[in-house]
Amino acid sequence: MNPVRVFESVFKRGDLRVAALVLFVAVAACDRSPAPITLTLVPASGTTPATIRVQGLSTPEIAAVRAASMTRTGWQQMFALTVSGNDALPVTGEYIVDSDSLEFRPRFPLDPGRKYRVRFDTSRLPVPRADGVITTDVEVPSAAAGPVTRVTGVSPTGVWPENTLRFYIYFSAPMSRSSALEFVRLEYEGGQEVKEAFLPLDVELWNADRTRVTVFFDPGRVKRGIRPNVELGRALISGRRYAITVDAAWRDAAGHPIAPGFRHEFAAGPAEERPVTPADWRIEPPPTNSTNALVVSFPWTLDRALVQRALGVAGADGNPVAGDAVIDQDDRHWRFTPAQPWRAGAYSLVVLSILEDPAGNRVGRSFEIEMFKAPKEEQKERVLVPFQLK
Amino acid sequence: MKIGLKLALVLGVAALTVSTQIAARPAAMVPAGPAFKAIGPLAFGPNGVLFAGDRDAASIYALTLGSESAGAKPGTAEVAGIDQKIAEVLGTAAAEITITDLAVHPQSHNSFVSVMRGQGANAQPALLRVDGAGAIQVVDLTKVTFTSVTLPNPPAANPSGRNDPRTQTIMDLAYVNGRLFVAGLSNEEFASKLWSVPYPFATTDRGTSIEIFHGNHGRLETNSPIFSFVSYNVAGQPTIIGGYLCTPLVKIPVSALKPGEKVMGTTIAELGAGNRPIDMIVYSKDGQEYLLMSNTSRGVMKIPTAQFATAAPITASVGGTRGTFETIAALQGVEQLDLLDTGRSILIVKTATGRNLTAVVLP
Repeated sequence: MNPVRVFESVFKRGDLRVAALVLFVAVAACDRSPAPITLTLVPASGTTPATIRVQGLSTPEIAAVRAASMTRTGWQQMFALTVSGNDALPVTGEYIVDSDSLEFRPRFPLDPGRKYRVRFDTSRLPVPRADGVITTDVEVPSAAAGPVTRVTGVSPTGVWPENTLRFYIYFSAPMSRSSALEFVRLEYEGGQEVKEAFLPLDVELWNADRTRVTVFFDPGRVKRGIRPNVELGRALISGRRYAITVDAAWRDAAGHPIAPGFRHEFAAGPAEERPVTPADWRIEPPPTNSTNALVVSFPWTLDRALVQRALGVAGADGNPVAGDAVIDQDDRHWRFTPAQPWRAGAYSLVVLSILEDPAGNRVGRSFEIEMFKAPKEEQKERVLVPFQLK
Repeated sequence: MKIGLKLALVLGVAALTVSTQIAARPAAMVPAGPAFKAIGPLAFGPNGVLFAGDRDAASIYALTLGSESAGAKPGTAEVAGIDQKIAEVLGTAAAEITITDLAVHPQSHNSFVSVMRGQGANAQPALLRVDGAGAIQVVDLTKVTFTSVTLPNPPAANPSGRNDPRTQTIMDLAYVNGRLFVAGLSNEEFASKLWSVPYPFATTDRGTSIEIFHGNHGRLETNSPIFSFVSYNVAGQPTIIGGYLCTPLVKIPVSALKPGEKVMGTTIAELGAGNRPIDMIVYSKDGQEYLLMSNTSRGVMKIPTAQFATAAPITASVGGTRGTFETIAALQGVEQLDLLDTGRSILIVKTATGRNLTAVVLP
């Protein structure tokens, strides 16, 4: 229900009552001094965010406000919340007439730690008071700081091919929406920044709980023959050492800076331009009647996130085998532990063709292919690599 | 005595008023309307429906704005310091808001601005409307009706595993002849996918993903996503004109965008390296039609569209640029762009002191 609408309907039915109330309030004011008006912040409670309350109005004054047909602008001229120091326009919200007070509910919860100014102009009451404009400053307390959020690692972890297209940064807790590129830096071994290394996006690529961000190298510098590649060269050069650093000014989701000092040093290696070829992987069959892990080893590092999604095991009937999988820290070994013991028979490793390595080479297709010379082969959604358990 | 009588009379009326008209204090606001996690990009569709992407949820909402379609005055007035003023209305600081898109209502010509308020866990989406008097109002999303659809995530190969599910986001969207086209970007694979879904949304057809190839630099760019696109009739054929990184312009006939197909787009211009397109609009001036495109590092380009039908496909490496275009030197720092009316565009321009909502005569 929209409270303002309620007041409008009351006005239409109650012109006479409004006149009577105005008279009553005027008469009552002759008899005794009105209570002082106070403006207070009502702290948040449960799921109800903080509100601003006006108290000290008499019951007839409240009733007069209720009966008056005040527009949104009229309300804001009488009773406004603004951001302190930034107060040309009032904060948007709903006005509530309670039994003994007026209340303002901001449309968006007030920011903890930010100062706001409440302004109440008593001359704008339906029956004006001579108290003038009352103001007060309010502030929602900042939440107590929890454990400091830190960078827990990056992927890939080993040697990075010089045509690496993307990497991931992992955090111990959810992060803010700030742009990653303001805080992530690629350095040469000596600490000098490698400029214009990353792809500037106007969207941020996080996982659902904002604990993993994807950072892309500028593909224009990665792809051979493109002007940035020709003019600037690749950001990574095989044989050199680099570091990824993360600035502690990056805020976590609670608004606190992260732990300082994260630095991941790595070496760049030769470009990886081969397509991902599951037939070349080494499969170590586990013993039957056991729940030992099936171990699949890749000849080079694959994309950690995609490996977790794009690999599975199917039984002879083609149905998925239930189980849990982990990828080793080096992103080159995938270990699948079945929920039920292995049986003798035929199985298949299921590989979705979306699987890529960090340089963007997909299953059966390199990141860069000579245009119009590439065979028009059908890309299948999945590739099966059969194996037998005896 | 007279006073006493009046007082008694009025008290009676007042008592009656109190007993019958003071409603119970409303309970806490019950969220209604579309449940955005994030808002933007925006695009208006048929009958003033506003398509609003939710980048966090990979969803598209089709909003019927109703009474929220227009403010008190038609049109859009220029607003200096639009980011500061939006922040004031939302009760926060300009540094805490992110303007995600700008779209002009086709009937009221009010500008709709999508914003994320806050950077942290409490970040909330907001949709605001700027009218012809420059009044900035938060659109009350509880008053709009909506339908929505979510981009399907591909299945995992190991459904029982503890995956960290892939997320995907929305780069741009446009409505063309009964279908909504959405350019998506995943946080994992870097593929070029255009997603097509019929509108009105139907539960039985959640759309389909189309893989688009385009030739560039003598290589097959299999893995570059579309960053911005518009629909345009090329030689009478509805066509998607897409802008990619570094900055090929590619045409794809809508008729070729069939469910499940892999489509080869035609590169018709090279607009310069080290650049990413932001926004595109199509307009007419002096009997000619143009594409106006804002970019991250190459300013705003005015591109005659007549060449789209006749340009020879670019299939070899291009040194510099190819195609006819003019960079509009007067337009600097353009972050958002839409067509305001037949003669003007509306822009959000970043300056040294903040951001301005600015109307300019179409070049």
